[in-house]
Amino acid sequence: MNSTYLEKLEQIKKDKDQFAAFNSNCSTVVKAGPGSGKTTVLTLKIMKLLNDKIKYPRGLACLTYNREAVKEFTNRLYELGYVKRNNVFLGTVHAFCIAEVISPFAHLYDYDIPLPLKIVSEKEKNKLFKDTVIQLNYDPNQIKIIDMDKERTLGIEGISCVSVEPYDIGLKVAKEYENRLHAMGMVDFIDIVKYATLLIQKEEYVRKCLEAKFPWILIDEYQDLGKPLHEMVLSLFHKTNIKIFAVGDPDQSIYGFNGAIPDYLNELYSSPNIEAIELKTNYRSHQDIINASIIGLNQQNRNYVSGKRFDKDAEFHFITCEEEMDDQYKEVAYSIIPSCQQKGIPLEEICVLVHSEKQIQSMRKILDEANIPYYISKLEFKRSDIVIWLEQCALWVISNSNVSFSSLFDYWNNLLQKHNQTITAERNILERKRLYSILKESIKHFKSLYKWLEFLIKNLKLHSILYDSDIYPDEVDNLNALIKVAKDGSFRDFDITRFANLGKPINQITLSTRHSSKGLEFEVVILLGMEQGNFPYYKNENDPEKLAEERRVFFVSISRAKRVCYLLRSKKYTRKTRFGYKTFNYKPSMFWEELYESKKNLGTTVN
Amino acid sequence: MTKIKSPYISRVKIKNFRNFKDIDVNLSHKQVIIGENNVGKTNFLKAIQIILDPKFSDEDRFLNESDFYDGLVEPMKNGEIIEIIIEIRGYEHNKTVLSMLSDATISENPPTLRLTYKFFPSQDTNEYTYTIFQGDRPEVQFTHFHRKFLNIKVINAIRDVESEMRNSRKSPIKNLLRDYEFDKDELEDIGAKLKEQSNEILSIDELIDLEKKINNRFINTMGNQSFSKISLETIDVDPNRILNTLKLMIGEEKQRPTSDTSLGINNILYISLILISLEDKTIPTLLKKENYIELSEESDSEILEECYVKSSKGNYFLKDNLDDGLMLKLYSFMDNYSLSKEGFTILAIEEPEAHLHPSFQRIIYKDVMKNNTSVLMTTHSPYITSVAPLNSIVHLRTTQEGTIINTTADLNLSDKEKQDLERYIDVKRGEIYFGKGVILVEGIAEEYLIPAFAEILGKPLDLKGIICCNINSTNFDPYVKFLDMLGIPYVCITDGDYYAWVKEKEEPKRKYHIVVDDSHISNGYLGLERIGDLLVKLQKINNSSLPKDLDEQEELFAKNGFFIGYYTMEVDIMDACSESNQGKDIICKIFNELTTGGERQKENFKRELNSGDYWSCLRKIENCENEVGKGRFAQRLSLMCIKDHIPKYIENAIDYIYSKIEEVGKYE
Repeated sequence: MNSTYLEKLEQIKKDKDQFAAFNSNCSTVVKAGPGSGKTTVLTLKIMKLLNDKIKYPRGLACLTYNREAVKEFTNRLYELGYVKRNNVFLGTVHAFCIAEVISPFAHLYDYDIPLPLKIVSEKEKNKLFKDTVIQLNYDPNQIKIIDMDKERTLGIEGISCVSVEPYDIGLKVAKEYENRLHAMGMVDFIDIVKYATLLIQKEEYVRKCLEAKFPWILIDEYQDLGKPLHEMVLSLFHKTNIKIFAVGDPDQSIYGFNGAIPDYLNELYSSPNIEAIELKTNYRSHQDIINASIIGLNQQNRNYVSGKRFDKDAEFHFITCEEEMDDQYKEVAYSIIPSCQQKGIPLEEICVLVHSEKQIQSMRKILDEANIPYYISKLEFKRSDIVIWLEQCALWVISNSNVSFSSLFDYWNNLLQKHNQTITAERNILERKRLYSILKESIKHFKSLYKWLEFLIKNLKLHSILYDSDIYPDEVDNLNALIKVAKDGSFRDFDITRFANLGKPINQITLSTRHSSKGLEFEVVILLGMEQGNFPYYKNENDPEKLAEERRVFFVSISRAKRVCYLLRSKKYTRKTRFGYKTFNYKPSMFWEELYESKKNLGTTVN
Repeated sequence: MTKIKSPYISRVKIKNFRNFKDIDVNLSHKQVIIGENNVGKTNFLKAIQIILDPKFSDEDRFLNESDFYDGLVEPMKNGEIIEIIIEIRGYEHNKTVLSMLSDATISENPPTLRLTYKFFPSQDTNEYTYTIFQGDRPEVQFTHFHRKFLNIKVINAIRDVESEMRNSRKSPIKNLLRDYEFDKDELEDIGAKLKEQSNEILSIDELIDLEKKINNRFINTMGNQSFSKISLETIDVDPNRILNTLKLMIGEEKQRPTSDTSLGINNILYISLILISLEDKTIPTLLKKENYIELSEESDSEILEECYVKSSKGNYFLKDNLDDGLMLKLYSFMDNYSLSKEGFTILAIEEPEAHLHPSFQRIIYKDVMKNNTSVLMTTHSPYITSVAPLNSIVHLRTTQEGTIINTTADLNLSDKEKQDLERYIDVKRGEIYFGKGVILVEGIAEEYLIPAFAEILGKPLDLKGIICCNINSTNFDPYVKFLDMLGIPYVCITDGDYYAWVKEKEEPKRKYHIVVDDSHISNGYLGLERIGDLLVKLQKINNSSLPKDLDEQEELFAKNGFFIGYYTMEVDIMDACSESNQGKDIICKIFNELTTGGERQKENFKRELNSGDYWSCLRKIENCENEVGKGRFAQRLSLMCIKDHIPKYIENAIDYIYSKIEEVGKYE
């Protein structure tokens, strides 16, 4: 057994909840609070299953919401000694639906699934949506694409008893939109998940094959995955012998706009015949930070205990600025960050959380002026499969010990095949040689990411391969966006080493929206815009469900911090009204107030 | 073991490969492949092996110009493609196969997998290359990963069973031993004890004396050097090798090692061992303690207690004679939490009859057929074909379009017809499959005489591989259906059984065994009526097109391969030679030699023969007091007959079958 595995195993043996989850031999739901080591448990569990329980050629599937998470746990698995094996699927739910359900089985049945799958590009989808709204005579301000998509995912029928009030306009638009899309012979990602769910629900043979390949299916971040996956899981749980291992935290469910609500995870958690485990120890944060995050959540029975020892006390700073967000940005750039640095806190341990993308752009300008390096997790382009593959290529070019050429080639080969190129034995060898020599030659552009990308994309003929792609309809645009960023955007000074390590701040502070901060952790977290009306948003204050989600956003934000929290607010904002510009006084956010009260009562350090 | 059958090849399609231009056949779980030498039986298996045999190398799968269908001119220059498709059914109960091959699914009702081999010029380089892919998805390859779980094992016709049994690596018994997980400590323990026990022999004085003698002699020669000490040792006690010392012994009282046993017995043993090694091992017959405990943790594990019994060493044996329902439940339990990671092997045996006595041939065949493993076998043995189920026949035949294959997997006979046919095709008539052409006859006399007549006509049956098949009745129906399905050319020769209507006690009645006479006002031929009914029933002709005129009927039937005499064959023979003194002399001579009757009877026979009273002659032949009998008479006649004896309809029948076969032969 690999030494990292043994080391980690010893570690989780000390936590009885983690160990119970690791050892469970039936369907299990693990509620995992922030910092509770869920990824460790999940990855160790996968290794244990593959080594002891599941005999080759059967395997398992581990699904999660986004590619970054997939990359994260895949790397962790390799560190634990994972060796690539047939029938082990590590990927997103979408990829699972395509590769394991629709491609092998859809053609056997008659569900009007347009085959082969042709995925609509985002541009086309937006246009189609707009046309549909206009056609049906709705006010474009009344419905956004995301509202429609949410209704579409909620529309799927099944076993779940969780009911959600439908949004009538959304439903009508959804129906018309889908008709039009399918008439064009195309699908979108929501269709893919819906079709896959339908096949699993209706077709015994499909379930049988999935059961044969995957005696276990593990799902990370269950709370983010919405209704179709929930129905898929329920169907497999009730109608097959597949064992489900679902990990998630209802308190970190903050994608309600997508149709992801905590109720699904809670429903699974309380199903009969499921082992329910709660991980209560937080190995990330100081007890005071944990307590503070729970106050914001305003829920009963959250007894998280810190499992980490700190030499210093936790700190909470409540900072009131004068006017507008700008004062808060300046406070961050010219006061808070320098003071953190003075205390010896490295930049990559500092995170600034704001409300929106727009605020990120404003914050960037100030940081640029103050000459503070920063890292933005959300980029101007998507970290698609191909971009992630390019990152891996870069990593191989600079040090081929961390990535194997075979894995790079496997992806490349797959990409060619998916784009209608027959790969014969000789062609395989030729392509292998070609990719190898192009990558080797690309070293000469090592200093400039832009030149390197251009060289690679040109020589691999990526544009012509991806032109009019059925499955990656947005990829040409996406690659162009990447090149633009590398040419004269935020990556203009990047060498390929920096690109290979994309996703990790290097001597930079992190700048993120609250929603995108999930899964990250920092010594210091700085929360901006803590005024009443802004956070929670004033329209959500009187809607109990929406307010609850805002509370969860606050919970997620605070629980990113290991030890230090800054909350910033401004007293005045000038807003455009019907009567021209007016300046308003803003009160502190209810979260600020609640936290401030509790800190005062306890007499902890409050600055 | 379980009733659950292993996957089988349900369909084979071959295009442009060796003997095969374009064939597409359905198969069932057990297949008997029949055809004469060089027709392509081995190539048929080879086509399957190209996809499924793990022993084939890349190079073997990479075909060349000579592998194209013989009828193609410069196939590679013209970009011809070789394509082999096989479909698999009966796999869906097993998760190992499902997990590896579900991508190959082309239908779920019934669940069917498809694998396609293609040898074709690549678009890029224009050079030939091959691919094997799953289902309808050329991008999903079928590779050695998959082949590990679904493959074919071929036992060749030329096999050296003895050396295979002795070979420690390939021996089937060694393979079977390898399937178990032996406890090293236990073996070591036993090894030590064995050594201790056997060392006792060394303390026998005789051996001490012998050892001393050898040593003295050796030291005298070599001088007293460190390497020159000689000692006696008994057995090898390396625990890893102790299992290698296991030997199969045969015989109840006088046990013999297999190396001393007959080749035949060894062949049976070898095939049996292979069959054991190919059995579905989803349900283990022996569960180790630790595995039992692990499985007990799963839900529904109560079934373990029901099905297994603890051994004295704490392991668990599968109980014998568990009922099917329980076995099915156990199968699905074991399949789900399976310890077995083995897939399935389809077995192909070339000529299992080699070295075997006929009764053993049937035994081995029946054993193979009972087994859950899907088996394809090629054979030349009528003993085997005679016991093969009717729907298991794969019949290869050469035609102008290359070898074509007819299979009986889709044979559509009523249960009664099936029973009939199975009863008919007994030991002897199993050879029906081996004919290039078949003459169906109704009795023993025809069986003797028709080959002799053919010889005289200069058309010997053996030369063309024509088989004269005596069905001992006039029920040609199932045979004809079956031969049609197999595509084997045939003719039927049957008696005319002339009759006339007479009045007996005022009731009109058919009178048989009489010669045509102008006084018969109303008459007919039962033979024509039988064949007419048969042809109508088989829809070879329709009732309305059946001519009234009997000569026209005869002509029409002959076109369909049915030849009908006037009376019964012996009478027709006598009738045929009525103008030939030599012919009549021969008949008299035979009768005289065979009969136990007196001179007077012989005189009478001769007189009746000359006067045309053939029925009386026949009665004398048949009369048991004379001890002649139709059979003996025919046998003797077959040795002495001349052209004059041959009735016209028989000559026509022989001409017909000959021309049918020559039609085919032209293209060989």
